[in-house]
Amino acid sequence: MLTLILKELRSISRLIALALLADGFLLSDLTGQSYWLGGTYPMHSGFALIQASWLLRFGFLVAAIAGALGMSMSLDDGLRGTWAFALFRPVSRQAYIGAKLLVGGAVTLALSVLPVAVYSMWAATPGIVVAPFRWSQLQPAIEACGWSVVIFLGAFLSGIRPAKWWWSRLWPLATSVVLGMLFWLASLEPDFPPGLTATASEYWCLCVGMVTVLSVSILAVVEERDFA
Amino acid sequence: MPDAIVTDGLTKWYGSKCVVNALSLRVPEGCVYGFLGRNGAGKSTTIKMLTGMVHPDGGSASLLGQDVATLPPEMRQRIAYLAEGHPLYSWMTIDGLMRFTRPFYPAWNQGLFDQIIEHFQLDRKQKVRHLSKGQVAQVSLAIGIAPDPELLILDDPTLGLDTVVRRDFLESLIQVIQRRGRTIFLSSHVLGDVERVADRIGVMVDGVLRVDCPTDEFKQSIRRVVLSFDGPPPTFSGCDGLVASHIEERRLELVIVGFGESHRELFATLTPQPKNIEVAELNLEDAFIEYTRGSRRAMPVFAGE
Repeated sequence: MLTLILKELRSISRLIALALLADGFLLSDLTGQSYWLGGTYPMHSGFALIQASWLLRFGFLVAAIAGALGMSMSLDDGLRGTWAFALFRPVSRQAYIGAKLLVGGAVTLALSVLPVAVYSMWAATPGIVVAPFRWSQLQPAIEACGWSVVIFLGAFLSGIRPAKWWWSRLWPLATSVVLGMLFWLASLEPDFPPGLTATASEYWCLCVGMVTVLSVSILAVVEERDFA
Repeated sequence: MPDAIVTDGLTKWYGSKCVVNALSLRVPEGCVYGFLGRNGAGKSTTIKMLTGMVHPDGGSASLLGQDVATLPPEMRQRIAYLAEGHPLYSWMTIDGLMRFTRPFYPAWNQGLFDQIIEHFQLDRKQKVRHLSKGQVAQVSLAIGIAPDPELLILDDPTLGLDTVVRRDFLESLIQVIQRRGRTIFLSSHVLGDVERVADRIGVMVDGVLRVDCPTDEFKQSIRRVVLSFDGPPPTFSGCDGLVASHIEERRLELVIVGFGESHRELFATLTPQPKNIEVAELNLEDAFIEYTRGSRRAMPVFAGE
């Protein structure tokens, strides 16, 4: 299993580097250090620890990273024509794909959590932010991080399903993005979108449910499909 | 001797096309089996079903006595599969590829791997994407053989290689064969290659296994028979084992499997009688072409000249 994990990490190393760069930009934006990028952005001068506009940018970036990782990891073997080599190693299909899901899920989560974690450590330092620091203020960002795994799995399922691109193949990805966006917004702002409310616990239940359904679906597809 | 590969009614449909039709085949242990057929004949699909990449729509297959539908990972330690085009991770170096593959195989023979890499004078630090097609095939062979497999399944391993590299590759394969009776199942378009190594052949035509016999028997049983006449040849209604027939001016050319006395007796009843009967042996390549071409003949390119 270790050899599979290392191989997957190596195969997505370029994407990880790009995502780290994007995380760096986002972090410098949040901490007000972005003047070196062409302008100052003193977001921490207000009372809100993380402002809504940054949260939306963060949500978009997290979804993009998760989607790119999911697509890349599911399509890589097909595009390179290496399924035959990979799947004939003496491991089960589930183990091979399981390693991909494990690595992809963990990397997605880590890349999402990283800017939030670094920022919270920075902001929690007394004298930096002119507002009391409470961990609960990070809740919307943490929720976005959790959903990033759902989007990763949705993208992975879209990549690995043998269906037509212009028809049903993208449904898992589209569903995970739309559901995530709706419930995330609903948990941020009561009654927005209209008629939809979600408590944090409901949000996390949905998140865990989606992760379970998508993971089981991926493993079922992998077992059933032909790798011609 | 037990069978290394057994298929029973193996069938695969792609849409409305039956690409492999009720294939029943037995490959004894220690046999080198050449699996022949034109493009689209169903060779690769058969191999993909044998290796579990593709699920059959009907029938069953087993490798080393184990049903491929439930082939456990440990069994794959005893089988090597070199897929068409030698797909390897292009971003890995040869050493990296070896480090990735080795942990899967308890019986990995590092000495043998090193020997093959040195024999082909390959640079271990080189990435696969920077290797030539021939070198990729050599790395693929080294990776396939190092686990010391009992059964090697090779899907057109010399496809796209130049003559010299192909010869090197085959010589290495022959050395592998000579190491304690491995079974090799080899599909190829290069019939001369198969002729050199295979002691039994199968020929697929449009998804159906038409020939399954020792290589020499196939070569000996197929004949080109040319009947010459004084005038236009008569319409030939057919005979046992007729593979192809065509008329060229005053000559009737027939390709017949299992040519014998009964055919000569039949020719004697033709009106008009043939002036002369020539019977020619075919090498494997010619026999294969005649056998698989059937009624489809190439267009005469210089017909107008």
